[in-house]
Amino acid sequence: MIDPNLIRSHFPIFQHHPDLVYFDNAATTQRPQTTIDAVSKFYSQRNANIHRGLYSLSTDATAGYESGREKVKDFIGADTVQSIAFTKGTTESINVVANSFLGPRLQPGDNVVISAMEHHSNLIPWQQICLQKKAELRVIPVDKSGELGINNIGDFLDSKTRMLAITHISNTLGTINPVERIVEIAHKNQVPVLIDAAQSICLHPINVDTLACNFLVFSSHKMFGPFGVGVLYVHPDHMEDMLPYNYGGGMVTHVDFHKSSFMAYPHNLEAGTSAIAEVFGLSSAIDYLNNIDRLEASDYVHGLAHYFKERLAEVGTAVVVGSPENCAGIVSFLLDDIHPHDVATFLAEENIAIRAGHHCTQPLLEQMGVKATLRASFSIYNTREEIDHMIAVLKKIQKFWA
Amino acid sequence: MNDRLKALYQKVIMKHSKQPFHFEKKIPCDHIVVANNPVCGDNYNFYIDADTEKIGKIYFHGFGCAISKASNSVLATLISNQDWRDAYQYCNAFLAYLEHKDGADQKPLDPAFEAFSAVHEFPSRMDCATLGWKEVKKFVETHLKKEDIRQ
Ligand SMILES: Cc1ncc(COP(=O)(O)O)c(C=O)c1O
Repeated sequence: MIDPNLIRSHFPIFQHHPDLVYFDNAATTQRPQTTIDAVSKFYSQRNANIHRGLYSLSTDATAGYESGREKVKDFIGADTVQSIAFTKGTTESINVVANSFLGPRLQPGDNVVISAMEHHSNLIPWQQICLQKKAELRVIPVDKSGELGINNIGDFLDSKTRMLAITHISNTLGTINPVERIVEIAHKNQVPVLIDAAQSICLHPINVDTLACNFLVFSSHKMFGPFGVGVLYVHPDHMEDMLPYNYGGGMVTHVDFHKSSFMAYPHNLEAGTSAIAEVFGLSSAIDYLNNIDRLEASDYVHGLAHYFKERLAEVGTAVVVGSPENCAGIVSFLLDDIHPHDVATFLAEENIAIRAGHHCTQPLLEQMGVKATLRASFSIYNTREEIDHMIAVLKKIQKFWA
Repeated sequence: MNDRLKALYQKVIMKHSKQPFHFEKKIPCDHIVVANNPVCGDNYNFYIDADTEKIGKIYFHGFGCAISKASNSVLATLISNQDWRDAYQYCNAFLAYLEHKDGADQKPLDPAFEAFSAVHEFPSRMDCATLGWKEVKKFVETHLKKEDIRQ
């Protein structure tokens, strides 16, 4: 059983802000004390640069950093630790795949397929490489409920498709895409698949071995870990195809003035000094997640979203945007014709943190026929009482506006 | 509702946002000035008639929150039919008043500014209130620079 109050006690933000109702978990989660301690402990007890020093502090930091890689590997069920590269986050991971993997093999007339519900981060890198290479970007549409027509996905793929990049969970509508089926369909067409797991990595157990995706990307800050670090998983089949992304120290085997040779993936992608303390923090966040039952946790959070939608029906003409059958803990909604920013300002005065705007999915909202929404996104420290509070405030706002 | 919110969403603002002045896509017109906030997706167009002497009627249309709509409505009310230099002065004065440039107790150039006096307490809403004024100010500035060069 998820005990939100016990979990709350692990997150010091709630001691500093006892009245905070934090419903902006899709933007970034809060961090447990253990994550914060891991970062600070690294700096106070183990701080040194990695991969360079011959003294024990540095070899110890290196070992800790590399064991973080090992931990990520186990967390997502990868076969080999060599598959795991540390990046700055989801956005950088996707840019790396678009430029270091896809770019060199994309020919004029080829195509790349994404869905209409992608975050700008899983849209623009593909859009730009397609523009550069005179390739076509194909977009699988969403229906009114905010779902992809899964049966039509095959229609978008052909012998010229070089990549299918798709999100596991929509950060705006909460739609959970059937990624296993999608990978299957893509592989039948010999198309590699990148899964954007930014919104799913925290509470949805993912196993890249059974999912069989070619690339998986996510950010530490959306899974109780620190900002500034993220992961790129590359299937062993493609590791040799990953070209360097940034050039510099720490990624070379030999350098002379006129040419250099580079280390193999993943080290060829980690030029310069990495976010070392943050990897220690991420590692600790994974320990935290391994200590909870994540299936129960995601059930709990989906239950909160369901409860919120039920209660929202009481609030006059409030409408939920999108109604996917399989929905995560993310709900987009509108309160009458009151602009989302105005509603969010009122909620903020009651210490309720939710997001208003387009959530970096402008083309999706356009398809759904709205310009901006309010978005409540839940996590395991949230409660039904908090939702009740928000509903009461929404009713007050409605009254004020009438 | 607490007092801060009451101060932000005063009756004047609610009235302007519900019944904005000159809220209409007025085409044809001499100039269209776009006020676009990529962060939140708010988007307005100002439809402006003007000759070398003065600005004519200003209409506006688009999508945004109550604060931005009210602020643009007040802009359309105050700047319509101003001569260019007065328009520039109004824009400057409105922005300075909101940003507390000359201190918090600064006298507004126009009493209509006072409806926005609480925006300063909501830093995240500052852009909503100032975006249209900034864009129109730029437009007026460009005209005045051309004028200066011509003379
Ligand atoms: C689905 C999805 N993809 C990508 C991103 C980008 O993540 P980051 O900003 O951590 O790179 C986000 C963040 O909001 C997201 O929700």
